[in-house]
Amino acid sequence: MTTQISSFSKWHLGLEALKIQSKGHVIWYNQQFTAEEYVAFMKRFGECETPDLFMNPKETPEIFLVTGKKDEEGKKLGMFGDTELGWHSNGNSRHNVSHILIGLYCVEEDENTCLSICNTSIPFAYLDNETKDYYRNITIKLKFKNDTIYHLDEGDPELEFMSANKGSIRKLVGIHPVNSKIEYFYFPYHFIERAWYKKKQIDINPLIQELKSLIFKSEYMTHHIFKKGDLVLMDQFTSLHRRTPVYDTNRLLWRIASDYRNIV
Amino acid sequence: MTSQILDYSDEEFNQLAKTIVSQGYAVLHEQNLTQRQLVEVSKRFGNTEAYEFFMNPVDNREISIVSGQLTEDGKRIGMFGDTELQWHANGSARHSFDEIVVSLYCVEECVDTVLSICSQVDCFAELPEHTKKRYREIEIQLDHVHDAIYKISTEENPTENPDNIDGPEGEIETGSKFYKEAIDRRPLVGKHPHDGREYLYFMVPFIVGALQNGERINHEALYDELWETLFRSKYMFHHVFRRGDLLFMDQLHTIHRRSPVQNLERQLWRTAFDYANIQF
Repeated sequence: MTTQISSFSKWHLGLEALKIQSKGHVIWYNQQFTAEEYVAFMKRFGECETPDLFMNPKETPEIFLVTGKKDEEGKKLGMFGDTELGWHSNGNSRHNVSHILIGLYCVEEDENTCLSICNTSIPFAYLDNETKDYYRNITIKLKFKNDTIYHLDEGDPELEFMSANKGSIRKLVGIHPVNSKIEYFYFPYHFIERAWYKKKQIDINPLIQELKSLIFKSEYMTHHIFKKGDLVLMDQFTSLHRRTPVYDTNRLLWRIASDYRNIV
Repeated sequence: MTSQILDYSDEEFNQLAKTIVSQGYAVLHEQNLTQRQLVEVSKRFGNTEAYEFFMNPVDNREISIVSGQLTEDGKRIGMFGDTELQWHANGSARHSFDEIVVSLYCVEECVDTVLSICSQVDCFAELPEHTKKRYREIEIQLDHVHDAIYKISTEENPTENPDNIDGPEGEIETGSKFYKEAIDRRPLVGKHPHDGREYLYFMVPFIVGALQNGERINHEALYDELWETLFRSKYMFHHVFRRGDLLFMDQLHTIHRRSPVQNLERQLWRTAFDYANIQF
């Protein structure tokens, strides 16, 4: 019998949270959760988002269904469709991103669909002090844009939800709110509209290109193909993620976004 | 600057080989290699396969180009096309072969294509003793099976289109007859020649028969059982190639598959070799 993460003590779960924050993610195999058990487990980390949208089941509103499947009338059952998803993390266009722990639990698998996770703190840690200071002085403005990480049709309820936020102005380099020893790049580059070095506006295109080649290196990435029962826990500040196209639209993940308030 | 394999000492090569055998694979990033240099690297491990098929560059026959790209005339420049590839390993359709390491070097990347590697040795190690005992009693028979790991187009299939037997991938044969093998079976459970660990040899699409203690058994039922046993997430490692990545896989301890290719310009250079020059 595989160890079940749900059986962990609070202390042990705290260690796991440290691992998630520093590594950007952890993966657990053969986990057995009902929807209710999964919600209860994620609440042991902290408070969970419940926006009450079409992809949140009524009985377990903390869960977001991630699937490309549609009902008989052609309506979406879940979010993120079946196409490639560009690099992103939760809440990229919001200013206050508190739910920085994402759980993805696999209910139905597709052996050709891959989740890639890129650590964003290690590339920063490897820089020399001068370069670190340069990036610490950069501020970015972010706003969700359609047709960047994926395409949403006009009238799609997901587009309404994603476009609802006004955007955010924040530092390119963040200090992790739970583990202040960790600095990370906040680089959902699709949504960067403007950037400033100190108070001077700078051209975002060369900045994005140099950061892409600095951050999106093979050595900082982990790739995962979900099998039933796999649970991936990702920190949304110390990692970014992307997805390849979905070939089998029966693929279904349960996604929960939580904070760490019960662990600290 | 990332350390370059071209600069490795013999000791570093030995260490790398040990990692490949113990872990089943190893990945080096940001390598800068020409075709000739990849061949040199391969030969530092041991004897390297060389063929004269369409996907083997004339100057470097040891390399097989893996790509779904076509020339302006619609001809393939490499092997394995652009579709999903079923689980396989080098030498899948043979009962015995020496080139048990494969290298893949990324020349052009596709961020949507993933290589999955599954550990047959870790899987076997975790089986209950009674299952290990039963598997040790089984021998499997392997042979060339057309379209086994992917669909070769009709035009390239000499069976379906006898007038076009020179189609590039259709001319590539595998299996006992092609290799003139003197044996017609091999144990399902092998013992690695270098670390002595036992591994399941589940060459999925090429199993055409099975025997237990010399008595023929239903190999299709065995196939289903092995599929459930082996292809579990915890035995897998997944890799999306970036330009300059150099990946090595042990072909006895692991088996691999590929998701469909989105960017047809994706190109890998592949070599297969043994560990003859390595001090274990």
